[in-house]
Amino acid sequence: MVSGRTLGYLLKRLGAGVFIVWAVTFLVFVLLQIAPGSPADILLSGGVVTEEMRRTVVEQYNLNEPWYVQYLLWLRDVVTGDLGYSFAQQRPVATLIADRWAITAQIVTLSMVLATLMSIPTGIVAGYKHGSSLDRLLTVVAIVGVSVPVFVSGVLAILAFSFHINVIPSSGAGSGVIGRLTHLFVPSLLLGGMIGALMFRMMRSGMRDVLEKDYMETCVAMGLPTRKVVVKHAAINALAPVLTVSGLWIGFLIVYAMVVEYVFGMGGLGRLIIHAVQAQDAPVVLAGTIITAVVFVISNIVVDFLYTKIDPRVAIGGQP
Amino acid sequence: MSAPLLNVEHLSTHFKTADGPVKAVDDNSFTLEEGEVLGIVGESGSGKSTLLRSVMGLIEDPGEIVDGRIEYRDRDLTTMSDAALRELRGNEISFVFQEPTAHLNPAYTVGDQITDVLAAHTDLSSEAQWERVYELLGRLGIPSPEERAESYPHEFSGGMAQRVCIAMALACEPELLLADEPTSALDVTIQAQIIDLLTELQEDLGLSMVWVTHDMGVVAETCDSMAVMYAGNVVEYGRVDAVFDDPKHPYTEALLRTVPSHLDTAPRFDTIEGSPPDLQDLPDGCVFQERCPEAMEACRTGRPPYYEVGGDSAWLSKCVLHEGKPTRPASPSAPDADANPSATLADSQTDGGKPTGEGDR
Amino acid sequence: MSQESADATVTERPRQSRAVAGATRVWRIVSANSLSLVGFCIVLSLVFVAVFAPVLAPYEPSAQQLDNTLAPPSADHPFGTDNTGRDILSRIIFGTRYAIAIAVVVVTLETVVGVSLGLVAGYYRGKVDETVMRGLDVLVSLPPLLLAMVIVTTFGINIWNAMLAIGIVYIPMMSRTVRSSALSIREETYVQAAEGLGYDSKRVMLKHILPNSVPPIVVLGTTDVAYALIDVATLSFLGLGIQPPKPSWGAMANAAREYILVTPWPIVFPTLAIAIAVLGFNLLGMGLRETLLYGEDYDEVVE
Repeated sequence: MVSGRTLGYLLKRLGAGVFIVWAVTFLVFVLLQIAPGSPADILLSGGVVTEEMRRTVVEQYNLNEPWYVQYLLWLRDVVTGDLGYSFAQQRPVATLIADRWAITAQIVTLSMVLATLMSIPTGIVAGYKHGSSLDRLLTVVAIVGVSVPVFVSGVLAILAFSFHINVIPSSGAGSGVIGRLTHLFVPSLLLGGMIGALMFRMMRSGMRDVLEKDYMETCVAMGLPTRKVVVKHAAINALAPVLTVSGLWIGFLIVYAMVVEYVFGMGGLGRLIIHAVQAQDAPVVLAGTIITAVVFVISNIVVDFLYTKIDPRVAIGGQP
Repeated sequence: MSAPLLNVEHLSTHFKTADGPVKAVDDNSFTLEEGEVLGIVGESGSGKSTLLRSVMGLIEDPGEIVDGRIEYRDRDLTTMSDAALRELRGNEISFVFQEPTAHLNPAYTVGDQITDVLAAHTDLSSEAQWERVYELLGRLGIPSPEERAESYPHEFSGGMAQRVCIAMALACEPELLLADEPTSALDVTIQAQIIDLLTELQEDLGLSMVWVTHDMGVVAETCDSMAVMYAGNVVEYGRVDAVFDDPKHPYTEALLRTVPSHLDTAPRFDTIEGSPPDLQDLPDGCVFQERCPEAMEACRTGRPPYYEVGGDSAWLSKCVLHEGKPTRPASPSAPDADANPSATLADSQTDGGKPTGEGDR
Repeated sequence: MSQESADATVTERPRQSRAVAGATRVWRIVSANSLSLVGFCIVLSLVFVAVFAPVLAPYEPSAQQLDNTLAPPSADHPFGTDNTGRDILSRIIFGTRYAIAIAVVVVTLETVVGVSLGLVAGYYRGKVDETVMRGLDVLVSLPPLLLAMVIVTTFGINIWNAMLAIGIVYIPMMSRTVRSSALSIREETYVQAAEGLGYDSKRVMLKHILPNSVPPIVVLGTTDVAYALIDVATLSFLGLGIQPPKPSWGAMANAAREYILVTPWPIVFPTLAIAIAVLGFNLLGMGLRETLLYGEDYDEVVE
């Protein structure tokens, strides 16, 4: 059930999301304009340029028009799903992305699940018993977790397992559900470990803050069982800041998923975009940027919706 | 006479700091009979709230009950296990806080939070729990309880939220209700409503109550007996009518003079000269000596014991003006009822204390 | 970040006693917590190694020994040699200079641009605040690494674009932090009182906003250096940041990837160096967070 006020709040957030996506397209467009060299050169920089290709680009991106017309026409193409043409790969960008997004999405989802499973229970315990030796141990593990870049842990994992023990497939994405899962598991675990370490830290400090609240005193004064006090009354409120931040982390997660894919040699968006950056294949990179922004905005709207469930006050404009 | 419902004996609660303990509550005793309403009055920072919280074991680090006993139905709460305390809290002894909205969890509906209390202490089915919630909210004067039970705390005004908190506190029909300035955070017009409501409920349910307030009017209106606190010490304890009529401690006297009396036509509105003692550096002897019009040499030498100013332990004053009267025995129900008064005096001299505002929240 | 900036302000001051007092205070804050103490030692060692790299390194970082390539660790080459016979230890020692450079760039951009934007937004509120914050929201919606990729794609892959891009993407968080400090100071009674009495509230605020924002700025700045090190290393590892002949740790790991089947050492040591450097800044940041933002002697430390 969504009340009218909550709906209004969510619509407002949706408006903000649309603004952000628009602004990202504008930013991308401006970058193309102010970059050294003409936009046509940048758009074509991925491969060998023929005069005919140049003409196609000038035509497709309306480069003879004033900049605002160029922008509006380009925006119209983007909105209708035409993300441009990769001259380096001789394929439309939309096709390139459609072939590859699934693996990235699977890694992102699986690592989010693993991160949540690893971080929330440990964060609750560490925050509730802060200062204990368990808390110290978990905190140190978490610091190490956020300090090791995923490409480092990825390389070390490949070194440790694949070449020497040959248990975990070190490259490719596997086929079939089981094959896919075994291939995805280690990369997702590494990525989930990194995100989980961040979530653990938030959860832990969230618990510490919540335990100071007056309503915790009520729980004690009313003689509620410790389990209920910690899990039902403290943890749900400590979860709110974690939820907010996890929305912000989605974009971060997508990009690091690309890095992990690249390290493990999987054919997701990661390899596509990283190779595109290496080859200066601008249309692909810019399309990737816009898609990431859209995913970011959508996941944040979902987070906002969930947030109104945890803390109903946000809907009436109170501070979360 | 049967044992009192609650008997607090030489209770001291201190807050540890880097510069030594802060003695928020220092060597206090009072008793509460069944069905009695006790008011604890004092200025902000006199330790009233800390005293009340100590009774229920709600003192958190760095605070600690360092001395004394709290006997509830002859069971000492200070030595009780956590599990046993949890059984009592919310069930036999309940608490109403000063800030109702902050004391409700923003993430759950108020009905949900009350059913939590019922689930903790009763075997009621979920359906029966909700029935009880509606009944309680209705009893507390909340209109359309079925609907309001589904509302979140932020949807209630302060007064309504306090009604919810009282409903929660009374959910399991407690014997003893501890109320920490339950009306101070509310609008003046709402205050009167809540006070009337609490008084009515107390009479109907035969509740015993300890009511912390800084409002002498509330005490006069609602309480049977009163304890006057100053700088962490209960300086006078007795029946309300007797104390109002003839205060036996200079501080009580001064405090009563600050209350504007609506019986007089001429405004009679005094203030107490000076300010409470520097809490980091309390004087030896009586804590009130610096502001006391009656101060004499004896006030500076040692913390006075509780003198039985009314002939028995029902009226006590911590003032050397009553030197020569018998002092309160360690405990009326304890076997060593005739404990040496000088020993009590020596005890109180040793902890010359620094009460503080820490406890008063 | 804390010690660099603190040291810098300390040395600017003419009187030595103040320098000593400042250093003592920094030491007191840092040593209040074992996490920050360990982190501080790691960061200090990094700075030391970066400054004295030519003295500490046994070989020239670019000196090739083509008859001794991909050698395992030995007495002559404690960390082994890479594919052109360069001494890995020496290259890692010189690599600290890149790490410190990244830290300096990120901290400078964050404090100069980020803090100013936050102050302006928090101070003027209204339209200015709205505009600045919406602009920063857009930057926040793009993950740092991706925005850096966009920047190097359009402006070219080189070390300066990489560092600048990473520096820019950490500005929004800093601005938000400073802004919320500024907004809360606005509501403080003494600022309101000063305003009511007709004092110049601008001066009152500026005198109080910055000092009160210092603890969160220090904590955030320190942690951001850790993230920036990860991002630049990742960019370099992907071949989009600092390019291979240069002895940066990420670039070394990238170059060594090809030979991972032959010998792991050329990739293991640079990646460990990255992890240790990041760990140093993270520990320092986390310890400072405990001391400065949660500590009991918070008021004392902040003054």
